[in-house]
Amino acid sequence: MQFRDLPIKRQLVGGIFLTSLCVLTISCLVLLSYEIYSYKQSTTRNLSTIADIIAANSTAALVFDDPKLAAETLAGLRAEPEVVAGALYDNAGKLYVTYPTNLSSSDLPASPGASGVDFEMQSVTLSTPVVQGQNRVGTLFLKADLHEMYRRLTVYAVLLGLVLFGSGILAYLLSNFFERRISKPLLSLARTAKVVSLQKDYSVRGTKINDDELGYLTEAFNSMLDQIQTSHLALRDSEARLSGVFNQAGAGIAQCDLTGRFLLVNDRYCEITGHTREQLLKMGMQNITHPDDLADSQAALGRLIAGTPTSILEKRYLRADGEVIWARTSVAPLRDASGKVESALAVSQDITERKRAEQELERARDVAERANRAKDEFLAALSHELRTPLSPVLLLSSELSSDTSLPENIRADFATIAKNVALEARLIDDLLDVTRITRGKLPLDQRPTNVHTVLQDALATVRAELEKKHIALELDLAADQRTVMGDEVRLQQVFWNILKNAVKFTPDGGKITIRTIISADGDDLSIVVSDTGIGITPAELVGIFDAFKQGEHAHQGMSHTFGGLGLGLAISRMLVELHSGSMQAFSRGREQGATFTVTLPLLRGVSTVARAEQPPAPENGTNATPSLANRPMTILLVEDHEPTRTAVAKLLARRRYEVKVASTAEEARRLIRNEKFDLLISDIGLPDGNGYELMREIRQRSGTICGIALSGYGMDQDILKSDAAGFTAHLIKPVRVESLENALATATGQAVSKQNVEA
Amino acid sequence: MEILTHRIRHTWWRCWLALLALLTSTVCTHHADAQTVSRETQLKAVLLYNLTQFVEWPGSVFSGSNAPLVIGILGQDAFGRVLDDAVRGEKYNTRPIVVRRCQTIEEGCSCQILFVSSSESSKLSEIISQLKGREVLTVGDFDGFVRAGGMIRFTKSSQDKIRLRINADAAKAAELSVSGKLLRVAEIIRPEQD
Repeated sequence: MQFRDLPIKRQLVGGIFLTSLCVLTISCLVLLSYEIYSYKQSTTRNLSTIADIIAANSTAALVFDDPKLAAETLAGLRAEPEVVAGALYDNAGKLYVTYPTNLSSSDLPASPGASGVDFEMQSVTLSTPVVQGQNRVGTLFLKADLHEMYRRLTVYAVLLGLVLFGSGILAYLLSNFFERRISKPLLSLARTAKVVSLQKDYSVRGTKINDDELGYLTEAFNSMLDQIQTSHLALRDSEARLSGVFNQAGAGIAQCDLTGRFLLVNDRYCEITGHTREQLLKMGMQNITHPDDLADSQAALGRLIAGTPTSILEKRYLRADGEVIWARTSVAPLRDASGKVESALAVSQDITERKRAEQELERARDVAERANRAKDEFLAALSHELRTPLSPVLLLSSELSSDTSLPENIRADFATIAKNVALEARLIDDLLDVTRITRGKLPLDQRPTNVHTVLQDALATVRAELEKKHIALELDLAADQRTVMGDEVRLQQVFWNILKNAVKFTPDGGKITIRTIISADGDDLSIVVSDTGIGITPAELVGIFDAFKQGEHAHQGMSHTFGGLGLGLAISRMLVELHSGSMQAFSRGREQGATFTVTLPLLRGVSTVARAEQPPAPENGTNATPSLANRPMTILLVEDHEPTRTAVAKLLARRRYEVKVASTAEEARRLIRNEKFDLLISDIGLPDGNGYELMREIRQRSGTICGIALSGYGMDQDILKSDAAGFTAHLIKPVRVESLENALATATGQAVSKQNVEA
Repeated sequence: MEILTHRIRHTWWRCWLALLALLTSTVCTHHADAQTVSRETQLKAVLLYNLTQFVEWPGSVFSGSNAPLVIGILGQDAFGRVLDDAVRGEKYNTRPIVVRRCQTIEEGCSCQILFVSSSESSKLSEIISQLKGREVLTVGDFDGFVRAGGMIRFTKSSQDKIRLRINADAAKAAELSVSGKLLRVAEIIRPEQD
């Protein structure tokens, strides 16, 4: 055991005792050394004095050669008991006389040594010259023993030993005394500290004994105990409160270590998980988690260890009774003093009911969505079915209305038929648009667009009618910023709808005003179209943008005058809203005219982007020569709807194309095997297949063929599918003559270029 | 000789001194040859010199601060070169010691030690009386020297050793201070005891 590990009592006593002993020993050694030193000094001095006297008295005896006298002189040494031997040597170094006279010459050096004092162990010797005047006449040798010195040293040593022993005892007693003074308060403090640390009793106090530093230490210790006691009580209160909250909380609370093992659970947690506290504390979180949610659960624990503050997860627990319940659990880390994540605190709420309700809701939603989809499909099918019979009517009536071989009045009738069929096709298109917009399936091709240009284009479509009704048009396009992010075609549709309405509801000789205004904050552009028409009653105004609603006027026998399903405004507002804009209608009332305002957000940072020039529309196909290298272009027409097939075939034949018709895919294949065609015009929906497959097959057989798809389906994916299959155009039924002619022109152009490549 | 040659190395004039000393030694051989002088005489010569170490003369006897202490020999000189050798280089305090052979008593009066040879025993009382009042230590080696008023006489002991007989009163009367040490080795006598 090392000294510093000894009890403080022994350290103190030992320390004081050792210190005293060291000091005393050093003092004794110094004293003894000094004693030896001074004894030697005095011996030397003494012996030298004696030698001086003897030498001085021996000169005459030596000079006048008187050994008797010399012996007498030496005999004077008797007075000095420590001098045990003496001798005189003459000038030649020969022994002259000795003291005592019977001393054998072997006890003396044969010749005198060098002058000086020489200490040996037992004796000290001295040689000194005998000088008379300036002449050395001989040498004196003296020898003294050191018995006296050793005797004195022994006495000294004994005395010092006694002193050491006595003072050692005294030092020990004194050190015990001081030790008690110092260690008593310390030991008392240590006992108190032990009681505090072992029994956790913070009410004990150390007893202050003295007013010294140890007293202050005791006071400080006591005041520390006071503080600890206070905070301990506060902690206990707070713990009791917390434990109350913990146990009575409505939520289940559990503390887990980082491996998921439960450390602490409250009643509610037991209730939720269906296990008793004892069971839970022997398990880990993994044991009661549904196997499907275990990975999520472990990941959440991993995130927690990695430092994520709180994560919330919804997971399933397996109750003891086998039932599966859902719980929403928020997991938060508990950190130790150094900030390291030590355990996790999970607060769980039983959300089984909510989950069940959610699932019900989801089911209900699925059902509704399915129904909705069914409706959409129905509408799409409906529009297809509605369009299909219109195709031949529109084609034939358009064709015949421009047939100059017919009388003028019949052509006019055909024109009326064509116009009304077109109107009906338009209504069906609107219906499809509404369906697409409400389903969010309408893609917008948004790019920087000049609103004024679009407005002018829209105006052009109604200008003829304006002139016919002698309606005055006032244009005030004052906006200096006119670029918006928009789909040109759709915006034109919006403007066209508004203008068409304005023209429709404005009587002959009325007036339409179109203005563009920049909003006060400079962010928006408003297009305001006012008319002097029949106006809108407040009641009508309320639902004016709702689909399938038309103004009162429509039900007051005016439907003949105005017609329509009332979809135009609804579609317009939807489109404007798709452009992040808004659309308002305003009217003072019946016969007070109406004002429609479209507000669109201006595109920042772009002043005016010139609209890309539209490529010039192809020349009307009636005048073009539908021939390739002086032979008529051959067309395979596949269409199962007999009237449409006949109408289209007729139309193509009139344009001097060579047309072969097929009503099924199989029939078409047969024809292809025997003949080569320049162009395939095919319905998509065929009784024994579809147009896409047919097109692919034919292109594989002869890659040069062009194609035009005819379809009652005008959805975007339909058009994309057509593109993918290799059709150059996708025409939606009812097919209008112009669009067919345009498509033919494009296809012819391609066919010519392809042939040129082949050639 | 070794000492002389040693000195030659230092200064050339000392060569002359050495040459002179050489001449003197050869000249003086007629007084007494070293080989012819007895051991007793040799001892007496050394003792004569040693007396200078145990007797003090008053400062007034010297003519100057560097004046030498003179040992005079009156009468026949038995010492020869031996005495000169004994005193050569020796000093009385700081004074050199010289030997002088005196022809007349007057000459002897100016010495500090006067050795009266036995050849002058007949004229002893005259010599003593002439020296009265002078600070001269008289030394002799024949019977009746002290009785006649001499101060120190060399005698021969039974062991053939040279002993001293001192007339302390006479020395005191001549204002000479004789060391106690000398007195201890000597035989102090009154003149009639000689």
